[in-house]
Amino acid sequence: MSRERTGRALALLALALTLPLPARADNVDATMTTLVQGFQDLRDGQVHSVVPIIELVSVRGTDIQNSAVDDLSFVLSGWGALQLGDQFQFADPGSGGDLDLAYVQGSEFDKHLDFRVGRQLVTGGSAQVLPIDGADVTVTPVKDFGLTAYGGAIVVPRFAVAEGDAAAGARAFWRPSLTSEVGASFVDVLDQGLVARQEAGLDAHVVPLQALTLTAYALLSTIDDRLAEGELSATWQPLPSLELTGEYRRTAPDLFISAASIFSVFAEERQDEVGGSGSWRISRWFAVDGDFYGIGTEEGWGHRGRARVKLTAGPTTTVGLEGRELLLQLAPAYGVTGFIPVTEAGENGYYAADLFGTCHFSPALLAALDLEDYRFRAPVNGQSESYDGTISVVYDVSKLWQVSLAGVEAVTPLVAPNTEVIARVVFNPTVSFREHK
Amino acid sequence: MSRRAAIAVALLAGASCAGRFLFGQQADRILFPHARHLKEGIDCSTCHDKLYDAKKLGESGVLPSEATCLQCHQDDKDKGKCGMCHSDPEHPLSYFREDRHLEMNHASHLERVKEDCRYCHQVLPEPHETFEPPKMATCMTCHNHQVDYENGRCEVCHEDLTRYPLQPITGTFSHGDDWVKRRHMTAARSTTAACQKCHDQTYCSNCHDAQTVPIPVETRYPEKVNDDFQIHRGDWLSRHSMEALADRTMCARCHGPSFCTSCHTAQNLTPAGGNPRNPHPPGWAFPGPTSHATAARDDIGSCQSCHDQGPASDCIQCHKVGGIGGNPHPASFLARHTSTEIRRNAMCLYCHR
Repeated sequence: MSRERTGRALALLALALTLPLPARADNVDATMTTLVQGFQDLRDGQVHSVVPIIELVSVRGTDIQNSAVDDLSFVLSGWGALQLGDQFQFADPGSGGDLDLAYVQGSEFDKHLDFRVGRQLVTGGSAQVLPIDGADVTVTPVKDFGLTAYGGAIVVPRFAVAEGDAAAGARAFWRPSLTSEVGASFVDVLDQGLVARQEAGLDAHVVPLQALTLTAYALLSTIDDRLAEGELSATWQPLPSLELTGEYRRTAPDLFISAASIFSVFAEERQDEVGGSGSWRISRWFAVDGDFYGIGTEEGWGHRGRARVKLTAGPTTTVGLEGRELLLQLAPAYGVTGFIPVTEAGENGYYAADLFGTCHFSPALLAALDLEDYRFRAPVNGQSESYDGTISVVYDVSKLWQVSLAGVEAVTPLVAPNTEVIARVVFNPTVSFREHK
Repeated sequence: MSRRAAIAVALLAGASCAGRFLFGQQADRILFPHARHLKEGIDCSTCHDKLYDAKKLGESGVLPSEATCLQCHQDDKDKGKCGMCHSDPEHPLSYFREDRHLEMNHASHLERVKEDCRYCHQVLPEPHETFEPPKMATCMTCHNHQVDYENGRCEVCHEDLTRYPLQPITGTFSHGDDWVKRRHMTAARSTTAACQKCHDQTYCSNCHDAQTVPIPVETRYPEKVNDDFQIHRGDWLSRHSMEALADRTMCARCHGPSFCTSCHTAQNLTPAGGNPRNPHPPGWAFPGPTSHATAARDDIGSCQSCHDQGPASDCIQCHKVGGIGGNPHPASFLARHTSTEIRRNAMCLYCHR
């Protein structure tokens, strides 16, 4: 993140925080998580011992008493990392850190106007999940109808990917109930003065019957006049324990590249997925779930599937077995490019089996085990199999403190950490300030 | 000290200070034996008379002031028996204010239950016990609240649901097994307001960070073996190219080109100067059976993963107007775009100078 963007985020936050003065947050929830990892990273023929220490801090204040704004609250979330041992390849030299969220929100005019100012994630309609330093305002002048408008500077991700400099958008919605909503939206993202994304969207989540939920989504790229993303799904819950979903999704992967990128001029792509999923809790102790999706692209087809059985052995233990499959039947071009492993028949993908279990040895002590085996259709780096296992122990020291330790062991075809230890300490207090009399 | 190092130190220091500050809250509590007072025939309204007019939780005066207690216990105070009411008489404080995130009108409820407080408050706290508010099941015995619940009108009672570890098992927002992996995004696009009933953005940012998260979610929660949100679980590295092919937009939703190049460069997986670990086959740059041209048409996202450097991108060197690579635009592109657009789009000027 650049200095200017950090400064802009902090300035916005400071501005927002000055709005409700004098004010006091009556409740503050805080979560502090300390993670210590240790693993050996093999890269370019050398083994590096890497020990990152990561502190994640999240603070949320609610019930801020003030005379100007209703439901005033704030959220502050960030992380910092220190590197011990050798440098981890993804990290910045020595250390790292950033502010993920820093916003103030509240409402005015008897909750007809809601606002959020600061570093935030804008969601809903064509915004997808848009991180901005800016403002998001929702106005509901009459019951059920409303308009959300937002704008600000796009937060550049940690790896300095240019996804835009500024974004603005709006969404008009009709919300007859909490569970049903229909919206029309628009988003415009600029990158170095060029239009990077310009999309119009329609979305709907409708519950015509208590057991039936229908959703639809269409995102039209107004630069290319074609569908960037479209989705239709229906979820039916004939029994409280049985849920079935059917879904069709179309995406245009090239439209997920910034239109300001030179690569946006080379290709036209589409990807279709159609399939469904289901989950059934047959009894209190036994449940099954799975999904299957057919995949169609311009250069091939395939499918992905998954089936899982879960057995709850008593009140403390859960054991499950999952099988997964991915098949891609690709065009011959992939066989010669070298960097995508395919069989002679042009197949790519894998089979996987996953055995997992959790056991509460006491209300405060949880142990979890996860064993995975992958069998690749086409050898990866000369190997057709991969194994990995994770064992974790979590102990709730008190209502406020939790500690955990996890170990990972893996045998994989590519250079990756094969042995890893992760220690975690979580401190999760809620502070309620005293009532002064 | 670099800016990032300063942020890291500040966060660590902040966490440490906050921890120390919060630890210090193990302070005085008011000790009140409800059972003994009731046994003596002291009615609830004797101490809690302000409840009859209280329209909100936490209103001032609902808990009796010291003056109310001293109507009976003045002698005890005069004799210095402070420990009778204060758990820490050396540092006496007023009531500890508990979380109150419910809309609760005592005045109207007292009428409905005919002033029988025990209708809802079936358990009252004794000294050194924590106050247990009535269970939600008690509220649900009322028909009105049952209807509110079924219609998702949480705000009738709950100011804020984000602090509760609830998970819908059944109903419209059933978070079934593939909820996080496939279906939550569909719901969130349209019903953000419903999501925000229970989740604030700190929950979303576990995965959807404004910045790329410092650690993948499966490293943060290795014990959640039963959850499907762990996209990079297990041996992700070996299968990342397959997963990327199976869902072309998946990687691009969170990662940009420099994410790929940082790893490929560190692993010496680059086409630089005759590198034997060059990911491209011989003849990649030239026309022929192993040419990059077909792959670029079919899967430009893969090319973009490493080669998108704006005007400095490799492709421009050969494919700019007059370059040896010739016109790279597919017919479909030429059909949609005319040469008049060049002047309006600065990106076109990278090649069309």
